Amino acid sequence: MELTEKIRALSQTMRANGIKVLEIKNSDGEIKIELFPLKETEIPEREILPAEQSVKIPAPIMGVGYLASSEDAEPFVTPGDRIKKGDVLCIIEAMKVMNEVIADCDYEILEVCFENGQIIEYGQDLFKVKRIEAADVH
Amino acid sequence: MYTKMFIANRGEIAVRVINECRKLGIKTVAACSDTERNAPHMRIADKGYCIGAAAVKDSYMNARAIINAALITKSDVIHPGYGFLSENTEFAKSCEQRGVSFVGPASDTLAQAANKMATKRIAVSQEIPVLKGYFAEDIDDALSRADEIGYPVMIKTSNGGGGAGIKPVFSSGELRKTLELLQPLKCGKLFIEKFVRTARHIEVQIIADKYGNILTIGNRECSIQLRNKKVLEECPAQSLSAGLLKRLYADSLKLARALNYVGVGTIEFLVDKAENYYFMEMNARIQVEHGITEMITGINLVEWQIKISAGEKIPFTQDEIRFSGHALECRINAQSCGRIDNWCLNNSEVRFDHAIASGLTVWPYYDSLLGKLISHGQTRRDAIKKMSGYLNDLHINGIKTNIEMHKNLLNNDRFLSGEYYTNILENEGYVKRYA
Repeated sequence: MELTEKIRALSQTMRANGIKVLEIKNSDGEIKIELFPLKETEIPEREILPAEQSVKIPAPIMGVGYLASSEDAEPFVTPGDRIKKGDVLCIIEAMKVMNEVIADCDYEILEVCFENGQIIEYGQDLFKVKRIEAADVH
Repeated sequence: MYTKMFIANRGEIAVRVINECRKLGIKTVAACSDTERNAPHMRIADKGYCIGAAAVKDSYMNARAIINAALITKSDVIHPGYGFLSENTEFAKSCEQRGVSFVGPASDTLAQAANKMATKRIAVSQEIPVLKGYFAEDIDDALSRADEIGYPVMIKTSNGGGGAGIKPVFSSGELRKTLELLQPLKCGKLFIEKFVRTARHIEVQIIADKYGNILTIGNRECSIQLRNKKVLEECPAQSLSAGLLKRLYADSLKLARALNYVGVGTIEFLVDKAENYYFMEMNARIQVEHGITEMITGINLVEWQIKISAGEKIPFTQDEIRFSGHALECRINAQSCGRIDNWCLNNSEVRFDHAIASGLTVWPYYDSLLGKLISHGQTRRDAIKKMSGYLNDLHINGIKTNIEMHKNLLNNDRFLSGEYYTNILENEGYVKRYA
């Protein structure tokens, strides 16, 4: 494993087990990893709103957001739609490439959070959705 | 002049460029990673966008995301700052292909100027002295090259930069041992070069426009380095003979002309005790320490970098450049990650180029530079005295910084003597205490 991969794996293990400092010495050399406490992070986390169990879908790249595949087409999704994992939610155009944003599980669409043709930042909320149990989707 | 500039960088240099754009009437677009939406450079730009995840490769060095963002925001030019993609030939070429200007040399020039081996070759052809150095394929190759050059040698791995991957080696036994340790880390190409033990890192600032005017704008002393990273710089360098300076400036101009260089740039030299000098490399971008040159000449390098890029002619001649007094820069670095609870610098005279804000989180993903404290005085002594005052007035709470180290260094006899070399911090015990 590359050194950076090793460090990443070790850091994840440390965080998962509440280990703050780890020192390893062997024939190859020695390494010391110290985790700093994550206080307030600004990484957009999936917001779980307690009452409704709804989440927001963040944009995976920056680009121009489109709600439909073309000018005259119907939008991929509208509020109230129940969609399946793998369905296309919208398109983000970057460098003339139309990138499809795909649902990572079954959802009910609650709200569309952007306007067609708007510049979308990385991590920006695209949709407010509610997870559905697999059995509910027809 | 440009209408809208996209700043593809972060921290203090992004702030510096955005401030300059405002003065020049250029609209600004800032970019940030996932973790820096509230960073100062984002707040002061006209518009700011998050372009990718926290890691540098996903954001500040994500060439596709950057060019894409510049295009969709209708920016006509990208400023790459320093580090990141500022000397990346592919990136400069992509900008050219996509019709976005790039504040820096043309990609053809960058292909040579940013390539250590290419610039060395050009220097040799221009009869500029260089240190003997070779690429090595493997341990045996490295050992034979080192014998050819003569110990001590410096090993440089090509995955370095900003001081990383550089180590002096004093014997063949040590070289073999070091290389055996390095092998499992896969550190890229290996370069073996003569190591000059007692030397100074002296650099020359140059500026060149699109009309063939190339000027030198003084020199800088950058020998104070912690693990090959500059921490304190001075301008001008002390005690260099007029003869040596003449040769450094002449060689810098020769190199820039041979490269057809346009923009601001820096030529780095190693100067030993006997005033033998060697060309090391060229930095084809604006540098961190550009501010101290600005203080003693009154020439705004970022302003001129942008103006030259936009096609303006340098309106002053070499003889018209005036040098006045002495300037110092202390790089204020974070030494821990975490949240800056609060900070203050109550001094009405200081120049502090920074990107610090109360409540800001310092992340492990990026360079630790928080800001640059810059002082200017009529004499070196004045500049040092003022800097001591600034260090005293600067308070940053919530994270560890190197402010104490700087305070200590400014009281150090060797530093105060003005006579020091690149081994100063190691000899004076700073590496043990602060690295």
